[in-house]
Amino acid sequence: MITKYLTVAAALAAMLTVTASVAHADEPDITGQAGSDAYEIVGEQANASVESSGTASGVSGNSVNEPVYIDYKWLSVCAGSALTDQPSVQVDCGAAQVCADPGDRLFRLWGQLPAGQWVALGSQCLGAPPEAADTPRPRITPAMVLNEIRRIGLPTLQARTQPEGKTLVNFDTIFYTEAQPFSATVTLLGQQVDITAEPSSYTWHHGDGATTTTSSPGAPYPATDITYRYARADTTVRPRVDVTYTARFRVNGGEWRDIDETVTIAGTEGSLRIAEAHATLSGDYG
Amino acid sequence: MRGSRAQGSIRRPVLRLLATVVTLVTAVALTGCQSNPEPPPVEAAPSPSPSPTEPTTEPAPTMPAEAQGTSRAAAKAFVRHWIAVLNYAGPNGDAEAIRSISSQDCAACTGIADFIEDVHQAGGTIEGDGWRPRRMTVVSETQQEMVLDVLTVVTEQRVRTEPAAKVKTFPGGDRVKTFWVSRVNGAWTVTRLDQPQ
Repeated sequence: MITKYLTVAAALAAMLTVTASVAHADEPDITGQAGSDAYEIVGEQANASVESSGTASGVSGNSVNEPVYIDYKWLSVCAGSALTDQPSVQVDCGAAQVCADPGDRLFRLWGQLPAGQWVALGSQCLGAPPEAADTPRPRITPAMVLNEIRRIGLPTLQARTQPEGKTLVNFDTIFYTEAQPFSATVTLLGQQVDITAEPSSYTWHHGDGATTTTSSPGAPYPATDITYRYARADTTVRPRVDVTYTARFRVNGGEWRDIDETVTIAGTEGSLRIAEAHATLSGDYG
Repeated sequence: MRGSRAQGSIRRPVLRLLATVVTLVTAVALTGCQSNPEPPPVEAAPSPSPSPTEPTTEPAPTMPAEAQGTSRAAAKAFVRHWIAVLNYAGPNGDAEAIRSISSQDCAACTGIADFIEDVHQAGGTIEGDGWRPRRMTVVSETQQEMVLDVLTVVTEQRVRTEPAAKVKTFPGGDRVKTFWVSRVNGAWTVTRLDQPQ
């Protein structure tokens, strides 16, 4: 078998030399390859070239457009497939030697879409069934992680004021909150996923219809990072702060990936009485 | 991508390469799956092809009416037509005939068309009876594409790369060709062709 390949390779090398003068820049190189015909050689050579460059067919480079597979399986092509509703006997391999090496068998890699449907991804002649290590791992997408974050839930923050519980009209009331980073480790599609989320913005609902958005959580007195003056007295408002988190994740200890979409968690409402201060003279003037 | 009985240095890297690229396969969607199994038919020989051994002045095979539409039968008719065009293009040097019904994303299609073009521009010849589809099955189907296995008899091929060159003979054999076909602007096109060796 090897001798045959070497013979073919030598002949094809000579052929390539001849064609080089008219070749395209990306001319298929058939040196060292063997196949049932030249089309098989140049076709698979071209496929391998594209795969190694990471620019396979139909790919825009935009991960949003890439299909997501939640599971993979290798199955013998000759044995058919129970994965789809297609005919169970796909290729009558018993009637044909479909791989160049008589000992090889043709296996197909299947990918399962999130809705459950299995689709054929590629096939290969192999001498033994592929092992687990040869099977790609399902891709964890930002959308999957985001769903998990929403399922777990992120910390709810409480708007704090100074003065607390009761403040004055036309007075700089201090707002702040105690922000908390979030981290968790979950298992998605059988893989360990580390998630972290940090507050990136705060929307303060002062309770009188006014809102303010800040990038900091504020701080208690003597800091005056975030203040608000109520214009109407003798009322009780219910202020709250909604926090927007940005998150990132990594799969199996790999590189961290940012999640473009943010998650906003509404805060719990507090109670704040707005009072009016009256100047009153007191004392013994006698 | 050739498999091997040997474990390790040959097989694993190849598999991992395939594993790496599976997410780069043409985008697919979820709907459009049909549930009616169909018996695997014995495929007829491709529609008219010229004499395989002598270049002719005949035009390329025309798209059969059966290839119109989006059904599995239409997809099969289109693949049969693609093979007929390949069988015509090789001896006649009409690489454009193959390009016109293949996506630019189909690397194997482009590789074959380039090869045909290069041989003929150098004054060489490609001879043989080409591919004869024996059995064709729709393997999977989404709204965007169909994947078809074609059990193909690859006939002996003789390639002369220039007038003075020795003829190189390829033995042929039974092969499974896997076609990914999609509808683009209302017409079928081959977006990927795998020929496992």
